[in-house]
Amino acid sequence: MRGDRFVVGAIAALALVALTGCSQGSDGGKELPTKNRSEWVMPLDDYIPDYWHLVDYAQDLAMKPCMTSAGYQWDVPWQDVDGGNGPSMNAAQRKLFNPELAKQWGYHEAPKDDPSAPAWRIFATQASSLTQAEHDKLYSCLDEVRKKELPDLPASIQLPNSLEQAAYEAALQASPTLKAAEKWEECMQPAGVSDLPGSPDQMPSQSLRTQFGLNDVNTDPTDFAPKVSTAELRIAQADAQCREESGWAKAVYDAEWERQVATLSQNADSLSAIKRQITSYHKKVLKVVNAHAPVKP
Amino acid sequence: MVAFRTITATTLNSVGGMANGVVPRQTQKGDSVSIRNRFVLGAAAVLAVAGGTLVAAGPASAAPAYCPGGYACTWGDTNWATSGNSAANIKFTKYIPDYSGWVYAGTKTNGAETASSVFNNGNQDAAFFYKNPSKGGASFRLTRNTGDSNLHDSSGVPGGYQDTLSSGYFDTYN
Repeated sequence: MRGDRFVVGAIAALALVALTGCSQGSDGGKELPTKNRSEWVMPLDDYIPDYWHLVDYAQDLAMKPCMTSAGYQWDVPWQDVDGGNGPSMNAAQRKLFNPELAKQWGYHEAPKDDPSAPAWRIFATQASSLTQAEHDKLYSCLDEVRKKELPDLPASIQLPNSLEQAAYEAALQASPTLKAAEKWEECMQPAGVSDLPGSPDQMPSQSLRTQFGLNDVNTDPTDFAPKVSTAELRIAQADAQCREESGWAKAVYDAEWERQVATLSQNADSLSAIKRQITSYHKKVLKVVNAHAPVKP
Repeated sequence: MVAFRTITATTLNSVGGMANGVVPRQTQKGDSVSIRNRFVLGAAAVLAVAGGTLVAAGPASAAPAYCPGGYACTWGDTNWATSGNSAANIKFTKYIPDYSGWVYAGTKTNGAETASSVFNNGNQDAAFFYKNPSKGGASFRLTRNTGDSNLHDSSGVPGGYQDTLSSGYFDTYN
């Protein structure tokens, strides 16, 4: 439950020790990124891979000989290795919400900045309907690729995600944040949300999620345009504006930043080891992609 | 989570019985969308997936029972079960934007912030699981054919995610 979230910090810290054998380390004079609240840039972002989507692409490409020899047509579509997440997600896979996004997309997510995404989604839709026998063959080929060409990184490499979340959750409970949340709640009264939560972090509320279709699943692989109503735009803009006017967005950002700086300093050596791993792995992924990728259409 | 619950074995996707009056619109394995004939079937026998119930897992897959090929699955307790029943899960082939609209198959237990084990048995992508609805909050990634039988500990996925998951997406939809 939500109360359990504060356990994250302690567990994550212990896990970091287990992962690297280090408990402390100097910051080694590492430079912090430039603060950017609209993109929610954080000190730990640099330790979180921004290329996860390429791993599946690389493995699928490398599987083609195996799949073909088994009698399957396995035409992996070309993907742009520089394709972006779109404006709603930052490089560290954090979802963004600010007045600019609210004005255009409400609470929905903006489409990705990736022209190769539609072809991949169609490919994925086809793959999702494999029979169990086909699925088993696919996994057999995947195992072969992982053994010979591109093994997966261990799940523990995602520790910086947990550390970021621990910092965020602590920031939500910081005194300036809680005071600002009260102001936000007052600011939002005219919007008339029947189940307005006590913190912007819990928006959109369940009634709004239902009303705005945020719980729906898009079943059309070619339809990337979110359906945003004027009612959603109105509430979302009011919400984003109140987060600014109340000082809540700035309070959370600054508090999380401070905590991440401390985390970075306390675990610099360990995080540097993770950084080396993800940097090295990125090179391997790109090498596999370059060896197998089809020609750009 | 939490104490064990009373469970019966059916899959949510094939049944209904949603919490909070939300009607999930998750697609099922068969309800596709114009499949082009890219996958030329071999002559191998097709294992039955009927009514959301998987008969058997293939030799190449270490997936838990009742998490069929093509799906990512969550359970309310550790070791890929809910109150000892591995069929009592929640699964998706694309994404679930808010687990609060779902219950573990055959139960009344809401899926939001109750998962203690997860598995990605998907065909195409890694799966991402988030603490808040619609990709909000912290996330972790599970590659294909991997899972975490105990989100309470720090083996596998780093600790801190037990009883917190609120949405899940295959990377294609992430």
